[in-house]
Amino acid sequence: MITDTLPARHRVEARPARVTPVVLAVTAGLLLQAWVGYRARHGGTAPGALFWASLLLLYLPVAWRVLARAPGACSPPPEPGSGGARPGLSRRGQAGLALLLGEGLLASRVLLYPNGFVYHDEIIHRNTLRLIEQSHHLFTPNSLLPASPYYPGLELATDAVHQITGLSAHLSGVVVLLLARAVMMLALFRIVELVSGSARVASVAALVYAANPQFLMFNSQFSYQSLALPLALLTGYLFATRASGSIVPAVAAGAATAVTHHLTSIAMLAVLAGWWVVSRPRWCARVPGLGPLSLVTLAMVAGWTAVAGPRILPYLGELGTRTVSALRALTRGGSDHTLFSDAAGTSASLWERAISVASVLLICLCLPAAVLSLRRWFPRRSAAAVVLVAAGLAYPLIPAGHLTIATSEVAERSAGFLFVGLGFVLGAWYAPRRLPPLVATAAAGVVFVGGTVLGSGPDWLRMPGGYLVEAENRSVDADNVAAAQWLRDHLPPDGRVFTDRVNGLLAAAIGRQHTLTNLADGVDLAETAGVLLDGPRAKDVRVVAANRIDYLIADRRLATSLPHVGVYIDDGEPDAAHHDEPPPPAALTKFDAVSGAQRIYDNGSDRIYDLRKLR
Amino acid sequence: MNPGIVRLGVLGAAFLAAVLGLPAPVLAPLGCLGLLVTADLAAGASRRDGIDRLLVGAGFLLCAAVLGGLGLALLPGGLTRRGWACYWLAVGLALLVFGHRGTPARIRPTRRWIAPGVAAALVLVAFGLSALDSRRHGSGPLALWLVERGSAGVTVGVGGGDTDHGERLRILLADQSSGTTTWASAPFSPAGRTARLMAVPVPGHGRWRVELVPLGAAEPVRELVLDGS
Repeated sequence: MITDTLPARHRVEARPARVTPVVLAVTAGLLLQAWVGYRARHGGTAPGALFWASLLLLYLPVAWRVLARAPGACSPPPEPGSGGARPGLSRRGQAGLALLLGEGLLASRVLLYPNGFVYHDEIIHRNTLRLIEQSHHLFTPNSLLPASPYYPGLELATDAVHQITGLSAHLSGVVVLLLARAVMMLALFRIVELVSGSARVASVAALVYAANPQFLMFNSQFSYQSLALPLALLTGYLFATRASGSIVPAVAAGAATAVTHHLTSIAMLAVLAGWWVVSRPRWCARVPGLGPLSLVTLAMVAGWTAVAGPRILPYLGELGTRTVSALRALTRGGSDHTLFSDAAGTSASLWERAISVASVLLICLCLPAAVLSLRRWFPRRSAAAVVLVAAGLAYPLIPAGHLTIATSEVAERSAGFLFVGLGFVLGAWYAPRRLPPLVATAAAGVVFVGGTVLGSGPDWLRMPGGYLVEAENRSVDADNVAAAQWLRDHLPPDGRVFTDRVNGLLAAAIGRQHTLTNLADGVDLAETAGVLLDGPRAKDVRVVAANRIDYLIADRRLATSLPHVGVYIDDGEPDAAHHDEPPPPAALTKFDAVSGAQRIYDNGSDRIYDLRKLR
Repeated sequence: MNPGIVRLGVLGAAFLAAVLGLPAPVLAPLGCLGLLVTADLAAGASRRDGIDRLLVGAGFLLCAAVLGGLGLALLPGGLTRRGWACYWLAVGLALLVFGHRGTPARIRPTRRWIAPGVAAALVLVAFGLSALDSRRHGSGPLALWLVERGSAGVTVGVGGGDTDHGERLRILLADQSSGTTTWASAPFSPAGRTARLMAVPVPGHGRWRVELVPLGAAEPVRELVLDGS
């Protein structure tokens, strides 16, 4: 139990406010999202206003219901631990709204891409799932991300649903994501409720959490963090509410987290350790069982990291090195990140920039006032509250991290954790206040849209539309998918394929080939990238032979634009993130003139070359 | 009827459906029901309220799938449908026998469920329509490819469901170095998603272009480059 917190006395109101209008509004928002998807697929352009309108239809009604005082209600502001719910909305209703918001925003993504996973990380994990389905065992190498098979929690849960229900792998993944989102929102709600003693604080915290930059996009993807984060929160919840003093359920959830995602499990360990440290001084109430849970978690995370060591340590090391280098460059006044713009020069609109800045300023303005109001918590000697407040206070690191590319990745991914604390801080501050509902709801809308803009990247990343060069979802089009399906249907599996970033993902996940990467195969892209991107070179045949390339996929559209994600193939290619012109068209057809090379497939966009005779 | 018997029946039916490999329209509802019963049993039906039951039930399914999958992967058979079915049956039975005995979850059909029900149905319809539209929109382009090489030449395939070359096409064989056309097929119409296979008499020497050309046009729309040998 969180013995240092007050018990939640759950007051069910005599006249609960109706949530049906909110449910219907959220439904309307989802139908509008489906329409947005239709328009984007057929129009080739993204109707941005419609997209944001549909998202606001999902968010604002919930925000209004959570933030607004019921008509005629004039009860005094609830003190921490008073049981929470203001007149007008029952505790169950508040939890239901948190759940509705989380699932609604996730469903909006599924409606835009109903038939498959299209984002970079999603395709990587789809490939790991394919490898498990084919081998029936774990740890089959995945050249797209060698660490992925060693953190197979998401794929195992998906395989379980796939096998037991017969649903497609994609639908099974969606079911797992929906379950994970339910766990996420309810565990967050219950943890904040347990610490604050107020369901109202918890429902405001859920509202704030949904505005975190990663919530709509990254943590809705079929990616290991989308499952690990809910499991980590579940660990905390099971520990806080454990019956008869047993930490076994929390240990089980912690073990599931440890085998699902490296960074999340490390963060979970850090939070548990921090909580334990904070609970040590005499002024804080002790938390029985926290020490043993922290130790067991340490053993599990360390043990699993040792299993995955050779694959994960280089990956984490590279991430750490990039972050440190970026920070060093930043202290010398250099930054490699252009805010509100992608590598191909596509910029965010003015209103998007303005609302992102407004969102950050609004939170930063509220934070000091919120922290001052939190002094009332100190007499309660709550170590859990201290940990949550510390996480909330770290919020400025998220926007500050956007100053460089490397730190923006780390900062944004930490949002999934820090917003739990921020939700608690802002929820505890707002709950006893009497702000006009319209103002409060509008502010919440600004925070939500601004946070989502900040975390969801450029316009093209958010919804379907016409093909763009190396632009994640917008590069997964019918032509590229057809080429990958042809690989699957006409070539033996595990051929060594060299190609651009998106075709490489599809060649592995759909085409069942081995895509050559610098992470898995040590391919030196400084030299090898020219096989695809440079005009005819004398050394091409030698490079093909040295890397034992079987097949080359050349997408002629690469010559039409700069890459939207900064690279055509991967980090390490010449001019990565700094390309100033696309490859020449001759680069993508040069093997037509090389004796021994054969063009064996052509769909107008993608040409597949058989280079086996050059090896 | 005794709730325990009903739950046992659902678990058994889901197990049999999975082991027998019944088609998805039968397997999906039975499998989902089996998982729901398992989640409900795990939630313990103890003193917990609805929020905690949902949280614990969903969390249990996820954790049991992850940890159970790790265990199954260690077995010689590995992660198969039969293995998963046996695992979930064992988990369900263990919960049924050793789990907390409390008030089973009851979902009372009241008018309060009408609006959420209608909303869920609308979202499902929207999802179905989006899936259909997305699938239709994503049909593949016209493609030309090498199927196999034989003693008398090669076989190529032409296919693709989304072609703007509604007119008739033909295949030409040209020497790559001279550009001279040495063979032309009879005109044909693309067969949409069904691949059309055609034999092309590529000689056993030199380097050759196999071109897919609209009737009356000079430029190929698709092209293969093949070695003669």
